[in-house]
Amino acid sequence: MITLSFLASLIAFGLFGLATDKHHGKWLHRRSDRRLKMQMRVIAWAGILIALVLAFAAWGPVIGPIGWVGTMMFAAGVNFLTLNFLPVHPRTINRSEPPPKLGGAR
Amino acid sequence: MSNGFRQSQSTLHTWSGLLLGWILFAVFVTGTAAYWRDALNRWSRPELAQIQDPDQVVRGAIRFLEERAPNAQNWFITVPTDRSPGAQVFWQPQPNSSDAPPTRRETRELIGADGYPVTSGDTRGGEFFYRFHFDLHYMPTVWARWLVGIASMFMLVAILSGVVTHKKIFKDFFTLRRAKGQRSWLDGHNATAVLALPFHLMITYTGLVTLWFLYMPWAAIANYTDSATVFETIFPEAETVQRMDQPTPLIDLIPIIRNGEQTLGAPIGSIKVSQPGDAAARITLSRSSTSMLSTRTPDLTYDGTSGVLLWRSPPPGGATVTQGAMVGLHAGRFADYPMRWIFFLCGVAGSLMVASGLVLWVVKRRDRLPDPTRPHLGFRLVERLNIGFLAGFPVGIMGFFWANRLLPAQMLERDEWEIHMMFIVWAAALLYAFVRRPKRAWVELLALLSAALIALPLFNLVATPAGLIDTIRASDWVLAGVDLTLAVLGCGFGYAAWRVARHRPKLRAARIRPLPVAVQTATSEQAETV
Repeated sequence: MITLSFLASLIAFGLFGLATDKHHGKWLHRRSDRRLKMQMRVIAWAGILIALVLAFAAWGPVIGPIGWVGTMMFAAGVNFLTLNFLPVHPRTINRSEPPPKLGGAR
Repeated sequence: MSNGFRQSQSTLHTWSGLLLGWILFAVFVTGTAAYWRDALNRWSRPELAQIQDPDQVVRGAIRFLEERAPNAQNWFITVPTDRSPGAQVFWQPQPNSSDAPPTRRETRELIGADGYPVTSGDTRGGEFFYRFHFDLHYMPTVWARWLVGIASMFMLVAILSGVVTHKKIFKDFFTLRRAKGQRSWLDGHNATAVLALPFHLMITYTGLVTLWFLYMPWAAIANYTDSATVFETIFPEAETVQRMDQPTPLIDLIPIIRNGEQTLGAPIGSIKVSQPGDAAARITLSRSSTSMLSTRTPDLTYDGTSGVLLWRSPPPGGATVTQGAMVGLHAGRFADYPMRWIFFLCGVAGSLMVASGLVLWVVKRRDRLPDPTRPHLGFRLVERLNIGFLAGFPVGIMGFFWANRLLPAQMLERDEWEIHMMFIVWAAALLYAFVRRPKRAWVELLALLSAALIALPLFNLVATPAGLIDTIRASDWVLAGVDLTLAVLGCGFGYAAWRVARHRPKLRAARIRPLPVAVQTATSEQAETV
């Protein structure tokens, strides 16, 4: 149950991270999509609530909220390190996206 | 929010973080280590077997006390768990004894897994880090607690003003601009602060609440005439009994413990026996603080000869429960292993937050110096203190750990010398930071720290019965975890040393009149070392 609570937080904060302009472009290789980012945030908030329920189930009503905050901090930290330090592999580039327009530098 | 207000908060954040930042760092590091107090207690006594049968240890403790202090006023026994090195026992002699009052060292003993007193070398182990993080050392306890309290208050101000100062606290939540000098330091500082912000707020506020008796005694002074009544109200206990001088054997404690566990619905953490071996004997059991959030654990008192339950703690008041819950939250005694790791990692984040804030002060001001090769006294002082504390204090802790491994087991006051070694090594590191060029001092102290950390598990492997292979094979993850954590920290500090060694600061022309070519060359070389 603790693991599930952590996983829910991990997914939630991963989505929060990917919904930021910088990481959205870096990891999804697409231009900022407001609708998609909003959907990501909604799912992320749902994940946070699921993590709360699972933390209550794992630790009980007294320790549960403490465990919930703790797993959220840990999940946020893991996502922070992953998003900033994991190299983006070239194969992950979404080739279905149209190439960005070149400027008039030439 | 007006920029003027935000700027004022920024200034407040800078100076409240800096002035006592070095003490905060030492408090944070030792407090973080104290989350593994029991694990370090075991690690510092590698020759001791793991507790398999706590009842056997309790019986051994009673047997020892019956032989060693049969007429004592009180016995105190901590009930061991598989996390602890054994049962710690203390006794209080009768107050009317004609002998000189014994020292604390003479009235305590550690009972090992086999039920007999431990013969290994004296050590404070993890207890030292726990006490140091609020009592410091070599100074009166009250002064130390006031100093730590003021530093904690500064930290609370720094956290709150930092939140106001941080313009894009949510937008920049996942932002780290790497290899950008001052910006990278700022992002790193923000990340360690914001990602674990609930912990930082909690640990600072509850740290102050833990010692509220000292910092804010006015409520107690206004409502009570003497301190004894205050303590009776907050820590109620059964009526004190007088010795009847009628020798009567003490009842077997194990069934009493089982009864206590059933009555309280949780394990027992400690036992107090008043007037042992007498008809007036009383046995008081306290619920283990690992089983509940509040540290105000309930007690049960039994007749020591018949085993009849005589008294139990009344339900605590709201204020007592609140304070007990805050102390429990701060100390994390209730935490199981997953949560304990989270507490520990948050403590590491807090230490990094304080450290990066202190380094950021230097990095930010270096760019503004009229001549970076000739910084003013304040800058130099902060820079050197940063090295002496941020790298030197962990090196001092390594002095403690290595002294634990290398000092002879039978050495007189060995536990005190472990601590002396920590301060001697730290003082040497601090001195080194002041005499060596800053960059060299950073690199060399971080490299030394890394080597000392990585070498410890290797030393354990060849020189102790609790090497990493043995502990993993025995599934003793407490001891294996300490060794692995030391190795990981060693690799981390090694990486930091390597990064600092490779760092080449961008040289900026001094804002003073141009120097002759020969002098410019010399100052450029000097700047390389800053």
